[in-house]
Amino acid sequence: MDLDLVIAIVYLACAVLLLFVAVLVGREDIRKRVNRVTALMLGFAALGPLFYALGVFVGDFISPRSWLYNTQYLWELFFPQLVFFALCFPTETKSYQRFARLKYAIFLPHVFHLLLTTVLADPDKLLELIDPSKMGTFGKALFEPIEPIAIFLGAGFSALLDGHIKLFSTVNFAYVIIAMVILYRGIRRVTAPQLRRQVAIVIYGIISALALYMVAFIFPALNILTLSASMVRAITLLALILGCGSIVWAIIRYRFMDVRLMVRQSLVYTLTSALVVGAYVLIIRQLGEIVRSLFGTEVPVLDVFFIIIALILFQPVMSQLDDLIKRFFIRDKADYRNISENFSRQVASVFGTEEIFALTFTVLKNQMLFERAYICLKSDSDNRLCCVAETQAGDEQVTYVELEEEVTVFLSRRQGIINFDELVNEAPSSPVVDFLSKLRTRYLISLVSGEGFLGFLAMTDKISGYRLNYEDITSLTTIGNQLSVAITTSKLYQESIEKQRLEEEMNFARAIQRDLLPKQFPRGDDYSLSAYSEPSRQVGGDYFDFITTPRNTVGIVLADVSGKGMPAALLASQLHAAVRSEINHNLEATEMLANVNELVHQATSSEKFATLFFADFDPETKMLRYANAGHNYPIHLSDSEKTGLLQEGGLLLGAFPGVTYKQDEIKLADNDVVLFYTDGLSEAENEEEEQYGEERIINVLSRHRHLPPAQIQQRILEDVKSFAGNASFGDDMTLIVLKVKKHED
Amino acid sequence: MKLTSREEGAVVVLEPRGKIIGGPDATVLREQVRDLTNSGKKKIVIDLAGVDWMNSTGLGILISCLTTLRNSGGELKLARITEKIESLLTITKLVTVFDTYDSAEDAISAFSGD
Repeated sequence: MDLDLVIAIVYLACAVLLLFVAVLVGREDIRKRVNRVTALMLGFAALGPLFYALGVFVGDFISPRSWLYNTQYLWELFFPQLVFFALCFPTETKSYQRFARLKYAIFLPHVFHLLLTTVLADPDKLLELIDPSKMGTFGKALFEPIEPIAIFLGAGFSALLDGHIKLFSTVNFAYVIIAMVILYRGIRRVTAPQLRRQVAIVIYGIISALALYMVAFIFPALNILTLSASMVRAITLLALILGCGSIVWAIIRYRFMDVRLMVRQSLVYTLTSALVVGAYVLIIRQLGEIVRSLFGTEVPVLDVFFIIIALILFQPVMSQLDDLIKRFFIRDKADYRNISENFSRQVASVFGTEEIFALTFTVLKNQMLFERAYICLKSDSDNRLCCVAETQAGDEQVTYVELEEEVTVFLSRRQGIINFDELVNEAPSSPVVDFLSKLRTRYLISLVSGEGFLGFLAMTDKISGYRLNYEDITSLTTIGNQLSVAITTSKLYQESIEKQRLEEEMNFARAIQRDLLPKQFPRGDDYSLSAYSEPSRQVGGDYFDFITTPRNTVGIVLADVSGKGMPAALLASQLHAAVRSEINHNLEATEMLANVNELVHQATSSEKFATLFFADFDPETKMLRYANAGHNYPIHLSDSEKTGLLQEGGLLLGAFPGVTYKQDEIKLADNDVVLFYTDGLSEAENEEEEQYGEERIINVLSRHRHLPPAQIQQRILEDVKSFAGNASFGDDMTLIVLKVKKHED
Repeated sequence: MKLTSREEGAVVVLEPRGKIIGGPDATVLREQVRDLTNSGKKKIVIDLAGVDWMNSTGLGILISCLTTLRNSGGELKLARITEKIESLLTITKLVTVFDTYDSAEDAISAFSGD
């Protein structure tokens, strides 16, 4: 096999690859300077191997000293372009921006070099052009006098050219060194880890290619080193592969220059196809030689046979390869499909908002390469926006901004990526816009769930400075949707946990409150008691108590704390304890109430109060001594159908300090009934919002007064329930029935 | 509950309407009284003609208005209380604490009589 030919093919392949990548990079975003500079540099670089390959193929037809031959030096424009590249990759350096026009001066040596080597490539030929002996009389007259000077100049040029070509290597050498230094320092300008990796690959690739180039060409030209021709070829090949390879690898693996997936995939596909075709050609040629050596002669039939086999196998091999490439790209973490997929999977498995936020920040900053990202959520309680950002240390930093209606309306109507400028146009003076501008926001995505506007994601520019491409938009839209779902789920989850916890606590509180109610009712031969208490919620502010006093009388307590639910229940239990402790001190009802009033007043604000009825029933004498602290008047129904209301007492408990109370006593006769109740009974409403009222209570009571207390209570409850109909009881309801029986002995 | 207010000389007359049964709108009454007190207006009449019902929370708000005013040396008078509320005030013995008048004008002149 002709090694030169193979090498030329490889050179040609490298040249084509470089040109292809140059077109790719340029096409991706030609408006960006770094793309233009990179594309041009790659283009010039491609000319080197291209000319070499052409030299091998058509070299015989071109004289080594012709201008056409010397156009190959065109590729050396690569060196100044490389310095340019180094100056604006990965980010533009200050010196690049400072020397607006002057920077093009770095091309001067090469342009001069090119002119010298093409136009003045062959001084002899140039001299022939102005040889007076071959001109007409006019030319002779004009040029004859300067002929010696021309010859002299020609010789000078010739020497200059030889020297120049040799010395020009030092210029390239200097450029290469400068570029290498700038490039190396360029890596340090990048801080984002993902970007740093791709930049490092490109820069190290180029630096090693340049180093190899110096060894192969510049050092020998400067007489520092002598190398055999095959050695030079080997080193050049390695340099080319390293230089092209690093850029191609950075594009494929790390989305260098934001080249799209489709393009990256086709790049790999083209590369592998070329390899396969090359391998095929080699194998078939090799087989042909084997056959020749076996049979001694050429067997055309076998050649044809192999080609047919190869053609049959070509399709399955290529489709296998296709699968492999696809799998390679799907496994890739930087692939946008994987970004969305991984995010969806991870975010679905966490419920804590902090974890969800951390995942979002990770994907936006490390995989999608946004400089900064913010999660802004509408607060549940008020019209504020809670903006969460991740600090350098990885902590969350929270800022609150006022959220205006027009911003909410605008954002909740929009789907997908929103350009920040659109919001600025919509609500230029909004505090949200002001806040986001300071964060250098460029893009927004609304987070909307079934329940409405949740907030939005805000992003700055990408680290690379590139605009969003199709893949970014797809990924961001998916991330936005998934984040909305995750936030909603997380809220519901937290609410349900909270609800469950509250419910458990409530059940516990209810049990405690139930336990505070007396289970064993006092019972005597000549009286009996019945009581009922039902809070409108799980716990309530009503309570009753039966206490045997030190005088062996029966203390009856009925209280109603203002408000409902837990706050009322807490005050009720305090009251319960206070009353019990006061009664044990064997105080008069009036004194007891004054003390309890003081206690409640000190413990609560003035709008929290309780009404309380206290009665002290002596079963021996049937005397009921009572004091009423602002409570509904208990109803006393005597056997003679006379109705009395137990009013005497004083102000409700806890609202004012220094209250004094009065007491009264009544003597109960046989079959007398006393009904104690809270306003939950008298104020129970029916569907027409009519109240049950005292009158109805007295009616039921007198109708059933002959029954035992438990049944009287039952009838009252049945009556109020039938009165209320479908309306539910809005308040806690408690009642106590005391009935005096005839002593039968 | 809705709340309107008018000034009659040094006296501010507040006119709540509807039910005072707690919730965020009922606290408006308390806050209004607190704001008036803080701004030096310490003679307040609450005209209850438009209030058809009041529960224990509503009662608590009235008590808190009274306490706020008294603590800062002001005074609260109630005018035109409906029968239902009157019975509520009677049962709870709050009639002994609140000054009640048949009309807002009576209440206002009761102030100037001081």
